[in-house]
Amino acid sequence: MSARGTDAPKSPGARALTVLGPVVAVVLAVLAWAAVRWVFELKDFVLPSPLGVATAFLDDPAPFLRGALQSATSAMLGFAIAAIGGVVLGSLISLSRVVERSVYPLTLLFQMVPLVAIAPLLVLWFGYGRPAIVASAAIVSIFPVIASTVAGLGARDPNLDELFRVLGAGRLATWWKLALPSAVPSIVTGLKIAAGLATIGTVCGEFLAGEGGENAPLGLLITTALRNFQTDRVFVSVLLSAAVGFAVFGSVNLAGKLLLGRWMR
Amino acid sequence: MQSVPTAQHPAQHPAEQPALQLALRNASRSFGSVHAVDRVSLVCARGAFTALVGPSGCGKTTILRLLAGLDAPDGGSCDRPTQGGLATGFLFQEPRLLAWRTVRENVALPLELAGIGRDERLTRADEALRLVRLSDASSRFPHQLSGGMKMRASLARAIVARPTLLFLDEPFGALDEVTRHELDMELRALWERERFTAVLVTHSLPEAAFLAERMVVFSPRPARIVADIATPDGARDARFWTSDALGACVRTGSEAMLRAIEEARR
Repeated sequence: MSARGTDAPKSPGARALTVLGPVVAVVLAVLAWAAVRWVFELKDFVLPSPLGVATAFLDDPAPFLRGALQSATSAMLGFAIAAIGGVVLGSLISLSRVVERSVYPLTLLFQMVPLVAIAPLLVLWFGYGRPAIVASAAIVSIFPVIASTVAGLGARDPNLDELFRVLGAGRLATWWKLALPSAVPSIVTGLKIAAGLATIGTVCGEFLAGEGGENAPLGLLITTALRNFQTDRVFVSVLLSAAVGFAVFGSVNLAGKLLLGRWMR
Repeated sequence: MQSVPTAQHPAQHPAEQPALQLALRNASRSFGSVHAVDRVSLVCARGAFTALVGPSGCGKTTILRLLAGLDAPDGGSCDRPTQGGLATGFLFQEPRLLAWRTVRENVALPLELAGIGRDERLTRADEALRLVRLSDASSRFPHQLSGGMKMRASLARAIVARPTLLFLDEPFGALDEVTRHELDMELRALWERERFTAVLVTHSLPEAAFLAERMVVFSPRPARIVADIATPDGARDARFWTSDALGACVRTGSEAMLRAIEEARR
């Protein structure tokens, strides 16, 4: 893998910059946040201080961490459904030209319908709690998987198609041993986009369908804290949502890299 | 398929069973207004190594595709041995290896698609890799191979099922001269041992004379046979490349080809 540009050895200075750069950026952002508060003399419930947010978290981190775990679990479940469902749907759509022309535009609905508009319906169908939240995450994230599957399946080398034809391969064997492996790099790209969207879909789903109590998810912690003007707690939950998003995306990215080991060299 | 007998090229082996014969009878093939092949009759004897040579774009690849059943003639007919599947091997211009499979898994592909069990197909893949002297690279991926090694892997895949019929479409054309000679010698040695029916398309007269028993030389498009040359019998070694016998075949072939090119210009 040493042939890849990103793995090229770096000078000590360049390495220090890649580590220090983001740290400096975060420090500057926090300073800017504190400065805005100070310059405009903002009240705590409008914009809490960085220290206040940190204190709100550290005073009692357990509910936040439990909420983050809940949200991460929902996001991963929703992502998994979108990943499997998207590849299956994309493959079915690619089975024939006619199906592709007629059904593919329909799948755009997943992309076009605003989630906030159908979230109440999800509560109606699935009730409050995890199923509705997972459904919301899956609906938001499935379209990139479908689209990347269709694109990847359509872009295979016609020479290899001919090879499979002269070797007498059937449709199913050609799909499983040629088309799908050829589409893997494209599908992985779609999965990465879906991983980011799944967390957004989860938190949105939790706004409407989240169940309170001991294990309240991040989305519900946000709405509850907003109602109580505990803006510092809102900030903690929002930052943790971002962390969950990073974690879901990061694990999918890593899994994709490992899988692509056979492809992208 | 009903065959149409022709006057100028009667079947060479009348006693041979039609089902085992590979032959074009008065075959034509056009693509739109382009006549690629015009009434060509050609019988490839069983177990023979036949080379189809001609200027580039003359339609020789179309003839190979007709013989291989990848394409059908517009006029005339094509007789092909009825057995298909594993009995026929293909070697293309490009290696056409699957990037996500190791060399060994690539070579085993034809057996895999024919439903042969994992242990047996991998054993046979190893055997084919030994024949093309690529055993050392069996667990590597295609991108880790040189151009010549990729073609060796492709050759191993073409012969892994021990086909009785092998089609070769300018297989080593993209390789450097030395590697190409080396692979030609191995392919010839393989044929001398296995005696499958081989049909090769090439634009190189020396390669055709080295590999094949018979060189069929074509005119510029539409392809028409202008010479049918028998090459010397017997085993080939590296010295054969510079032998007078090979030189004579090349000279006869290139004279016929040049004459045809001149006629086409007039």
